[in-house]
Formats: sequence, structure tokens, C-alpha cells
Amino acid sequence: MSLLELRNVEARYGPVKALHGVSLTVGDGELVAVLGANGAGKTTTLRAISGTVRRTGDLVFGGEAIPGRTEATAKAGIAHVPEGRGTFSDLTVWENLRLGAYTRRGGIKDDARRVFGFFPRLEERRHQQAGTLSGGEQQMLALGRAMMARPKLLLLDEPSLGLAPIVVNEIFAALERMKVQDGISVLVVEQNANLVLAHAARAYVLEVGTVVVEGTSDELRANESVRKSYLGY
Amino acid sequence: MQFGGIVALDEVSFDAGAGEIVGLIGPNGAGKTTVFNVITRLYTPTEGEVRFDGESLLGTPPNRVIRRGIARTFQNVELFRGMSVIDNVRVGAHARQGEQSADDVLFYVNLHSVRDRPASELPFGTQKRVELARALASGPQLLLLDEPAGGLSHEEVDQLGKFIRRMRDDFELTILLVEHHMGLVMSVADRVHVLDFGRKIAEGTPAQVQADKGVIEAYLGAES
Repeated sequence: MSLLELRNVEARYGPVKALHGVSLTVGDGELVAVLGANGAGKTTTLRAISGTVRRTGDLVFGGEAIPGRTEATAKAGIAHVPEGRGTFSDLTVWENLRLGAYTRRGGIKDDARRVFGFFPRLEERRHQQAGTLSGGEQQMLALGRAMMARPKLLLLDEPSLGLAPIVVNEIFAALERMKVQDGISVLVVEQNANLVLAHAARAYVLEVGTVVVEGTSDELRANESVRKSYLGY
Repeated sequence: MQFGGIVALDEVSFDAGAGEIVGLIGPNGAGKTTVFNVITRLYTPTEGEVRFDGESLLGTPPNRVIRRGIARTFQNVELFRGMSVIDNVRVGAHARQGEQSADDVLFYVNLHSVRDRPASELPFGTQKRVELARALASGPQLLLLDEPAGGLSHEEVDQLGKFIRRMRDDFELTILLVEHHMGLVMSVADRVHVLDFGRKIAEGTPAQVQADKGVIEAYLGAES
């Protein structure tokens, strides 16, 4: 059984329909990628899952229908790292991380240690206001804050945005470890398709708000139009 | 350039010649955006000098920088969110009474189909293009682009690279480009400067810096 299943999900911004019936699944401990051009509906798909945009259609998570409200989503174990990060700029790095654990029980020390293990820069800057971090450091903080929630499902919107190539490689290695060690599932939107397909089991390609191609990463790499548009060879 | 006890830029010197596309790369927190903020006068450097077209910029207040012919985009998009696309671009045109109308610029960047939509509703990659249009509408000589490839697919990044070069030629621009997408930097930049911890660690042609051992270690990683 899938951890997450979307069936015919639609969403709109005012008069503009952004999703025209998207269906997809994410399995337990699976890393699934969403590819697509600018404006294809990738970000809206993640927003529809976390309830940050109104949706119609069915969403089943862990065998249960989850209402489209953000607090219900967070409590169910879905953490969303949005495009543009959304870190609290007046709070310190440490306060932002603590907020990530707000919706769950249990300690935070080990989680924080793990986040600092992934991103040593955050430990150096733990008492600094988030708004004074560089763009890439804020991206690290947004990821770290989501990890603090110990989510079952992590929704990542372009984690590579603003990050140096060397850090991007580290992040995907970290996701791989979280997936294997903690059984976390990941649904990731990413422009670096070569990289994400190297880590994802499966992927969906969106065009104009619908899924046009889906398959295993190998199948997608063998697909000529996918290669041309997203992989560049 | 210092913030409290943190030295964000440490004796950084570089230049960009007229008509050049100069790439600025480096690890996160290296000071790339700080360079842009110094040039646009959001920050005043604690030491050093910034010259544009032979004259110091340091006497120019931030709101007059655009009249000197310098325009920029932002890494995380800083549009007037409640305003339409065309109104955002009009702000750019108004800032310097450029020769082109805001509508001309929208056609040029191929955004006319979303002319009257609220800017904040558009996809991230499109919002970046609106910012570019706003900057172009001011008729700049120097254009600072902070991660223009954000939110774009591979194919779109290819198109963006061609577009940046065409824009440079059509408007006779000098362009400073901060970008982590190495494919883009390598295909459009004439020269590249590499920053790390606020210092310049390398400069050269794209091919030279890509082969530089220090740059690979600090920034690109072994695989790249």
C-alpha cells in the first residue's frame, strides 16, 4: 500500500486552473521525483498535498483521508519545504529548528545534532537571525527545520535552489540516508533532473497541470522527450 | 565589508568590462549576493572603492543607483506582490524614463500573455522573468542577475542562456551573473570570478576555473 495517494486532484489560483486532475502515489520509504517545465504545476502539486492551496479530489495518507488544512497535514507527519524557504527571519537559526519539532512529542537534541551533522554551517550560526543568513544557508535551515519534525513524508520544492553544487550533492546523499535509516518517504520537485533521477525510484512528468509521463527513473531516462527537455542529452 | 564581527567580503577586487558577461560563483555564504548589495549601495563597504563608468558609486544613495544605469534582480524574487506584471515593469520604466515602454519590454521577454495577472500568482521561474523585465525597462548599462535559472527546467535554462547573450547584444549591456547552475555559467560567461569566505580564490575563463583544483574542492565537488 502506498503511503500517499492522490486521485484526480485539482487546484486553482483565482480563475486560473493550475492542476487538472493529478494522480500519483508515493510508497513507504520511497523517493519520488516530480519533473516539469516552469508553470507545469509542480509547486502547486506540493501545495495541494500540504493544504497550502485549496484542492478538490482525494488525498489518502497512511490509509486515511486527510483534510486539506495545513495543521492536519503537519500533524499527520507531512513536512513541506516550500519554494522560497519560508524561514522565520526574525528568529534565530536555533529557534527556527525548535519550531520544526513543535507539532510532535519527544526530545530534539538528537535531531538537532543530526541536522548540524548535515549542515555544520547552521551550528556555527545557531544564534544568528535567520534573515541575516545567505540565501543558500536559509535553504539549509528550511531543510533542517523540516527534518526536526521527524516527518513520514518530506515534500521538497527545488532543494537545490541557491545551493552550491557540492552542497546539492550532500543534500541528496543526506536524503538517501534518511530514507534508508529512518524510512522517510520523499516527494521532490527538482530542476536538476539528472541528479534527482539518480536518487529517485520513480518520477512523474507534469505538463500544464497533468501527469504526462510516469515511470521508473530508468524508464524516464530512456524516454527521448524527457531526455531532451529535462536531461539535456 | 563587515557585519558585526563577520567579515563578509575581504579585500575583493574585480572588474567587468563594457559588454562583458562576468560570472560570480562560490560556495554558499561566500559573499556573492553581498557583492551585489555593495554595488547597488544597499551596503556601504567598511573599506574599499566601487567605481562605475570611471566614477565612484559610494556617493550615490541606493535609490539613485538605478539612475546611474545599474539594475538588478534578486535571488528570491522581490516583486511588488499585489501589483500586476505590467505595473511592476512600469516601476522599472518610471525609475529612469527608459526609451522603451513597459509593454515593449514585456513583448521582448515574452510575457505579454500574463500582462495583467498579479505578479505573485505566477510560477517562480516566470516571476524571475518579470524581475528581469522590470530591470530592463529602466534602460540599464549594467545588469546584475542573481540566480536567474532558479525554477527552470534544463531546456528552459538552455533558452535562458541564449536569451542572456541576445539581451546583452540588443541592449549593449554589461552583465554580472551569480548562478549555481554551472551549465549556464559556463555557456554564457566570458570570464568567471570565484569567491570563497569573502575572498577571491580564482578567476579566468569558464574552462580555466572549472579545472581549478581549489574551485573543485571548495565548490564543485569531485563529481562535477
